[in-house]
Amino acid sequence: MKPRAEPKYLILLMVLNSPFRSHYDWGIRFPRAIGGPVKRIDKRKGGGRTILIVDDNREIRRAVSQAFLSDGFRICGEADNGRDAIRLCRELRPDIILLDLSMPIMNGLQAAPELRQIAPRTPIVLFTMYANALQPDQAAALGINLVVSKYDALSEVIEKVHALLPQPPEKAEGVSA
Amino acid sequence: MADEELRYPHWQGPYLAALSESNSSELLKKIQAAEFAIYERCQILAPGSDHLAEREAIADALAELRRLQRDKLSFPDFTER
Repeated sequence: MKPRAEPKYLILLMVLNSPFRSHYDWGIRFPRAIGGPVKRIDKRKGGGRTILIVDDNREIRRAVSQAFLSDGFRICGEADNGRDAIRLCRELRPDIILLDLSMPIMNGLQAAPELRQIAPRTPIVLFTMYANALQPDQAAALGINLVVSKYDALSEVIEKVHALLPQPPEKAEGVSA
Repeated sequence: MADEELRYPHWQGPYLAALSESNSSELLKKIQAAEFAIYERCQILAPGSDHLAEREAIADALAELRRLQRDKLSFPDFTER
């Protein structure tokens, strides 16, 4: 005997497949049905701001990227040495730069002053296993805003990055029709 | 050395593999694998202030990896400015 669907499930299916289903979309799209532009607020703190991640270790870049993406940042570029970071910074104008210290070709300390010249107002965060190798005043003289250790939990690193960014962090994005 | 003989096998295995590598291109990969294993371990150790012996062992290992990067792979030395 062929099983029959319960009427309540049929109604639910009709609603989900109907052109009015956006009414049931937790209010995000609902106002569009009654006209006017809709603004969706990205409640994750990154708010779509762009970050350039510079680290010669691909696996560390991947882990860090995932954490920042989860917080609402956009990864605008990745580089595995300071020289490529400088080129990408010129092209992409990131909102923040996360910079490793020990890298081939050009390390973080060599790249930082050039990055600072290219992007005078962009926070540069040195993200390193060797945080003790640098005093805060030495870092500041090179244009580095903050030194964070790779020993720190990524959630703490992200919080410290937020503290460097201009507030308010929420950025509204329009929803196209 | 077998993993079971290592005190901190999660990162000491890849670390010792890097130390024993003589081929340059393989050395880079193995150093990076060791660094990532250490990084992962640091993320686990991050919240507490205990595991002091392991933290010291990690600091020594990182210093050795840095020396390999500088001497065998020509990484710029960040201690000379």
